Amino acid sequence: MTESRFASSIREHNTGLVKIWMEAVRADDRIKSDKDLSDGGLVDHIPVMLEEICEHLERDQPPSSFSIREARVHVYLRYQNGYRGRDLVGELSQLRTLLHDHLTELARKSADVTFEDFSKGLRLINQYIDEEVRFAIAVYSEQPQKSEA
Amino acid sequence: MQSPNIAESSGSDRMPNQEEFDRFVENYNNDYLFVLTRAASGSYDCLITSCLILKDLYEVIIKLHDLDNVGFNVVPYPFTLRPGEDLLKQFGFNKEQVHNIYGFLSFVKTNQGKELEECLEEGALSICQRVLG
Repeated sequence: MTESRFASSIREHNTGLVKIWMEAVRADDRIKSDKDLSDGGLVDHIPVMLEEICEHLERDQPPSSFSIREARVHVYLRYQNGYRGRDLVGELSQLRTLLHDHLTELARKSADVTFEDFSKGLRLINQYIDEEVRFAIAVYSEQPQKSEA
Repeated sequence: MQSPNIAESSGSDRMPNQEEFDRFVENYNNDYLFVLTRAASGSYDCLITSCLILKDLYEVIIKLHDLDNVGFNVVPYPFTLRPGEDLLKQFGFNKEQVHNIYGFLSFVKTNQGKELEECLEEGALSICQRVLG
């Protein structure tokens, strides 16, 4: 099952992927909120979110607002720490790009991964991140007292 | 715990309005803090059951929100017993209390033979089966 192979690879490279993601976020000039966070604070829930993505891939389960538990924790913590909404979307965009590149590299090296498998894996990852973005927009935009700077 | 008042106030066949939803979320938030406070004090009795109820309440909140009738005027705390040290400190828990909260996770693992999240996923039945044999 190719989704399991994608999951195994993401799991195996979790620490390295998180490091690359953190460097990409730090290097992204448009993301400002990370400047106030330590490396530990920035990384925060990303490793467990990757694990949650792996679980979706293994189960071949499309993400839903119920199944993205760690992503919701991530949104809440960012919101609570005063992270700007646009910066949260920026760091999720970096995560999407990172996983896209990782799966592309894996598919390139694996002769038996079909285009359909690759597409299916990517779609699931995109759905997961889109569910998180959707939740984030609700949290950031529906709260009357706080608004984005 | 005081959350399940939404059915009482809403009647049986209509969706809650924004005010009722806000109150429901506030009650859930208070209950969540109460459960964390119980864990922080090292009082773990029946805490898995409380977590099961809270998890269901949180999912009701997410479901109601998904239906587009209401918004997050009050942001619900994410239901997790692993919110991270930073957030627990923001809630006002000290180092020893944070230690006790994480101690609850070890307590569950020892007594149930699985992680808290797995217990919650399997629901009350698996816990009852274990207790009743």
